[in-house]
Amino acid sequence: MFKISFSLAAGLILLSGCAHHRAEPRTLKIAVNEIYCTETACACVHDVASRSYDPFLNQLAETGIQLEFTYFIEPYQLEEALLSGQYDGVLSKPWLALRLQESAGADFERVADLLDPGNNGWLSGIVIVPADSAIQSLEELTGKRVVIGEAESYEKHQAALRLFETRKIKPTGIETRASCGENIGELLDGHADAAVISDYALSADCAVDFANPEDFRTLEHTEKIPLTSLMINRNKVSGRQVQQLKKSLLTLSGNPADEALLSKGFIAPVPWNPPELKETP
Amino acid sequence: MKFVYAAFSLILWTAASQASEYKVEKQIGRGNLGQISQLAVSPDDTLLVLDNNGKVSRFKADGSAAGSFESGMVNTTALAVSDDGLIYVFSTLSETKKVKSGARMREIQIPVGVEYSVFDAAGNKQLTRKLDQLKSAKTAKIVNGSLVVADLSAKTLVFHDLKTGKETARVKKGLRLCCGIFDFCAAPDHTVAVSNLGAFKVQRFNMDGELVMEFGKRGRELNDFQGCCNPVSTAYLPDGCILTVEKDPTRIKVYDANGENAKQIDGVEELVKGCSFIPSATDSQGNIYLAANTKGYVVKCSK
Repeated sequence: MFKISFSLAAGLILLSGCAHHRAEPRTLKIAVNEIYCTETACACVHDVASRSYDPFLNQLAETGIQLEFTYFIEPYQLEEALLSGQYDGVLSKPWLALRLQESAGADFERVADLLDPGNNGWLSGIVIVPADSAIQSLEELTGKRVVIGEAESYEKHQAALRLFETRKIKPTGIETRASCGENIGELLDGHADAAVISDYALSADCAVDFANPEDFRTLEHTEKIPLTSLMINRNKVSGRQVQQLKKSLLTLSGNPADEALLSKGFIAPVPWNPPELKETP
Repeated sequence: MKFVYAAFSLILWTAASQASEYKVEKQIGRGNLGQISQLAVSPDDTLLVLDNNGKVSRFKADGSAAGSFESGMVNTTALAVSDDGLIYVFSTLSETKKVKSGARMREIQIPVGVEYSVFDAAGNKQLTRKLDQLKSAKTAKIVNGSLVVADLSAKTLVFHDLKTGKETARVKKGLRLCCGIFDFCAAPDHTVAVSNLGAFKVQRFNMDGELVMEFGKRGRELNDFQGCCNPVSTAYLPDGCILTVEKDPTRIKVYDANGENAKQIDGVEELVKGCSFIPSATDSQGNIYLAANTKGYVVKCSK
């Protein structure tokens, strides 16, 4: 009996030790690419993208949560970082990480969404035409040339294609470009009749330096998706630690959050289940 | 086994095709340069470095100092050199304006004009002239008897007759400039190549301002440009290949004359932080000069 109990106890201690070692890193390493963060936004929009995380991270640390942020101005580098498996989580547009989780061997849980400076947590694509275009409705894009985003930009690719399919719009050609600026350029140069860009592109993207919002008309918005999420890899971090993180994020957010966040901060994640995840993770 | 060998050969070939023959050689001017506005190379391959405070420094190809002179100008933003070795230093004139920023008033500098002075190689001033039709000069080159100036304020590339200063052509349409960067270089056949960073393209224009060639797009491949806007600078090499400079992350690449088959120069440090300009220049031997403009030195790459 003693022997059995001793073995059982030893086994439990070992197991708990392993679990603790595997699932609870002292500091969570987070890869960051975020629209309004000064470290990752282009200098030309630093008047609106002036968010700094340091004070908030210090507040989090006082609650026992240590996050170490590594900033990536280039989303392609963020992707490489996630695939390297060196990070416990990511703060970015959710699709950037969710689409990679199978190849990264990760299981990302959206722990919280981050509000933009207008306290908005949603993102959509906008279908735009030049202000003086004869095109007045989305339906008129059938038979026209449309330029959309690439597959890593959900709001201006998958969501745009679904909008066209749902509304039975059949453009003559759909081309893709990797930046909102290029899509706007195709429109300005007359190479496309309509373009799909992110809804922040004319206020918080390099396009602000060469495109006036008044020069374009919005025909339609694509579906709303979460703008920015903090996602934690559940293959590396325990549920207990995730819950603790979530609780601290929400407690420190709201009114007032640290002013360097430029908004009320984090909110509970809104439900989002992109159908593409089942097909092309 | 054959398959393994073929795959291995393919990997080696791919690696070779993506690695430039260039290597990072040395830093030039460390400790002696301030905020670098522009680089230029004289016909005798002397490297000229313009500080924003009006100082022009000269370096031999081996990196040793070859003298300097004070232009006596302020806010010197562009530098050009003619075929006969005369040095053109451009100053963007500005006025102070008070603007409301939130609850505060702050002062900003508004570009209002361009003045340039011409110096011989020893720094003796030859003449000073104003270019009344310009608001700012971010880059300037002398190409086939034309003085070409990038006016960032007007987002326009303006061509002038070098002797009279009279405007002969301009390019505005299609230029997608951002982050206060507007660079171009002299290109073959009396053309200029603009780093149209907001469009992620290099575009060549003739002296009439007509587009004659372009390449580039944003993307993840080596032939593509990355970051929020790139390239920030471009220069032609003597063999017709094209140097492109991307900032944050710093990527220095050499394309063939068609703007294809890019090869990256390995080992170049992160020259700037954030969205900043990286001036570049090349000499007749194919050496490449890159300015770490806020760090105050120039990185030389050679074969």
